[in-house]
Amino acid sequence: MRGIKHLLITVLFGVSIFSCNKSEIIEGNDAYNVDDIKTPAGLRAENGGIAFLPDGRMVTCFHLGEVLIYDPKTEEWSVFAKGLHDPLGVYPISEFEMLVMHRPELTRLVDTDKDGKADLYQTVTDQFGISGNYHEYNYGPQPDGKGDFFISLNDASNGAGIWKEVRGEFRAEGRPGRMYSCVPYRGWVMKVDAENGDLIPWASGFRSPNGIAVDKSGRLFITDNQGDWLGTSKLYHVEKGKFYGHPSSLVWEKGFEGIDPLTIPVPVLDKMRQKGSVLFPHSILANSPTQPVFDYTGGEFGPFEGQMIIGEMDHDFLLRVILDEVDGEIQGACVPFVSNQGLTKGNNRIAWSPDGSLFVGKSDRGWVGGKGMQKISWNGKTPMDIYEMKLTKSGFDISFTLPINPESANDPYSYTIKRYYYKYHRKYGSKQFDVSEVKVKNVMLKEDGKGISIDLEDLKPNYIYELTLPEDIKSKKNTPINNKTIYYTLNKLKS
Amino acid sequence: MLKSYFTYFGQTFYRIRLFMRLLLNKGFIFFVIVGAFFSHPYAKSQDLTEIRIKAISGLKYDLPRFAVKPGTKVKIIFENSDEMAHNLVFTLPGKREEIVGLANNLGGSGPSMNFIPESEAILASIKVLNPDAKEEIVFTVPNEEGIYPYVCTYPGHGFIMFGAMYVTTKALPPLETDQNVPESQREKQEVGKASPHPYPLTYPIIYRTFLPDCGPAGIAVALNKKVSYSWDAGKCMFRYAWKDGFLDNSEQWQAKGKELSIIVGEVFYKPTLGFPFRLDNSENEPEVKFMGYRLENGFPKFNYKMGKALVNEFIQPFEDPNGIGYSVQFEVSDLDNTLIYIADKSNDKMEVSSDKGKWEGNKLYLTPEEGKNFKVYYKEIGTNHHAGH
Repeated sequence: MRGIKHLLITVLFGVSIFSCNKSEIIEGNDAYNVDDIKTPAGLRAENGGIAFLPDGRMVTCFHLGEVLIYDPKTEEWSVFAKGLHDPLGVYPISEFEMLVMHRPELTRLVDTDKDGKADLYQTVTDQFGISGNYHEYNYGPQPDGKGDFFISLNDASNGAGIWKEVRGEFRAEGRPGRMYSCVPYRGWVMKVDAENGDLIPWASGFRSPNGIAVDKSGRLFITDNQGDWLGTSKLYHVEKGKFYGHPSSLVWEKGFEGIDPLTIPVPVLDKMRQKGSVLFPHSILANSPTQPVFDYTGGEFGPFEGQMIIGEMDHDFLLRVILDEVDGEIQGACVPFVSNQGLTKGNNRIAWSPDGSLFVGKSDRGWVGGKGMQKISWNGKTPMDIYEMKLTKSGFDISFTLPINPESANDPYSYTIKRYYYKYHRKYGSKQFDVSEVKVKNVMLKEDGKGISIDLEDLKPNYIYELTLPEDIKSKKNTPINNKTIYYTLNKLKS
Repeated sequence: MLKSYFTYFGQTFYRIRLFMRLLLNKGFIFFVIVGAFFSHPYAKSQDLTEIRIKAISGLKYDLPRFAVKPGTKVKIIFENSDEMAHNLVFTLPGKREEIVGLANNLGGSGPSMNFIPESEAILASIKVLNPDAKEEIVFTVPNEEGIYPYVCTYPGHGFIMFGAMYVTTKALPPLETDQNVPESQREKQEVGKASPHPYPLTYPIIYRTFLPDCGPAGIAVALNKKVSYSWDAGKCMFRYAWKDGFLDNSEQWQAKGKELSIIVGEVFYKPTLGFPFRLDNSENEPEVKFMGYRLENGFPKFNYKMGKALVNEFIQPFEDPNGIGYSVQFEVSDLDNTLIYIADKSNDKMEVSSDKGKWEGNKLYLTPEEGKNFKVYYKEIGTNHHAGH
């Protein structure tokens, strides 16, 4: 059934592109329906994790320790497990076996007597430290695509101290700093061996890595939150053994024993670190990015197949990320997604239902956010929007979801491009540095009528390029564009 | 009663603020009339009303509302005690949401404008303050009576982080029904017996949570209405038992989870001798690894490794007419030598006994065969007697 629908959409797209049979496409920027999911009475609906069983039922966990199962067909909820400590991720192996990441452990919940409730709470791993600091949240488990899992471990915060009794080795040199790592592997992403539960240190340098995703080809992506050492929130492409910038985690790096990472000179740290692939200008796009997912719905979620969607706590929209591989390195652009469609804030977890709709779980935890759950589904309309933004040697290629009205797009003076950077420093956050306009030399319409090529007078790496399209840019059928401004993180020039 | 509060007066400015706060929180009739009430020369010479507002954790101002007479000159001292940035914007009556909307729409220019939009509906404002920063502003409140909101217009904050400046000489409405104050800051509702979950709470109850006098991987179990205990999953051992209550999790569950769960009731047994087992005639505590627990009739049966031995530990209620207590069943497999179990017997109200093994002082010696399945009973004696007084 799904296959047929999938095929149908592909055919429709094919028709519209190649034979310009425009009657097949309904344009509209209200392309998504956002519906509230009714959560059960008595639940404090601060969501920590969502995943789906193959039969379409949703497995989900909440702040006060519940793991619940929701059947979208009957809209009924059932209790699978309870009493966990702030679970922030769930992954169902089957309807009788789930993995849950909570504060103390990664736990396997097993319903051995098949009565719908877990009766075995088995430790998969607890080989990481807990100091008692409230900020040591744990995220995951994210399947790595090869049978194992990734988890990520938040640093502690100097908003509170640690306990007299901690779990795991205490290292005093990890105690200073605004966000700190005085027990093992705080600020790390770890790989969990599914066979024996062994925990393998994977990459370091994270602050609040509340979002893990793996794409089709097995590449690992992690979001991190603005704060100390993070001028703005960002998305990292994470590779084994690399360091991503927040120094506290280095306490647990081999060869760094006895060194307070904050005594390492900033230029050295700057050389050591891997940069964010896509940066989200603070408070404009994101304050606290959360769960990334990839749209592999085969067109069932609209025209953005293959792109990344990320949740965000502080805004009533999601983020749509367009990755651009430049000479083997991933960077890319970002725009708000599903704005003004009824989505509320606090979008802590997002997950695909088997029918191609996106379920959203909210949380706040005393920060900005919300409560409850929503479901986003595509209604078949094609929004007029930026489809992709790719770096060229002299500027950017922008393509759109729909053919554009050429007159609305051909004046180079009606485009503005600003660039700036956020500083890598110990301080909390960063202002925008070296904000300057870059002159647009030339704008060329693409032959297919669905894109433009922008030549800039100057391209420099290590800046965010904020491109604002002409005020009245619209589709051929005069649908105004959804997002006029897009933010491209340029780490590397095209050779 | 009101009179007794008046004895606070005439001392220090700070106390007057305390007094204001007290009245505010109680929803009493009051007004602040500067000069008329103040006999303090310092306050008078300033000729202005000092109001301190702190941004605190949980997207809140510590002061949810205050009242001043029309035309009062006020000095607002704004301090950011939170971990994130906040500003403070006073608006004209009814304009809070409009200003918050404008601020949210500032887009890229928001940060440089401190997220304070240009609007005639703004009475006064203090820019975005980073954590621990402090700033003040002096202005004269309008002569028109009204409810003037103050709000943090940092994106996302304004929908819940606000308060109300009452410019009035009249009584304020009761705090608990004051729609001008965020819901979370109206008088605390009495926590009822309702379950905090989407299911009724029935014994036994298990919570993984942060507990006092326990490692951070804590487990709290209420066996029944009378007896609860804590178990440390990091150290794989029992920590303490208490009676006549379970937990108050409201602080731990509040927001970020900084606070511990609170033990409700009375701790009646807290052994202090560390991990209870010794293996292979060694003086040292064996290494442990927490494997999880299985629910049997709802009670957790803990499972852990201890050296190369595997342990099941099952704590169940145990009662007789003379006292309350619990039993611990141990199943220790893969033992090569005598197993030693150490019980803290220093509490003379606790009676400790076992169904197997030999006691020598506080040590119970068990053969590998006995270690496979034995029970230790902990009973608080004389409970009923004490309860009678």
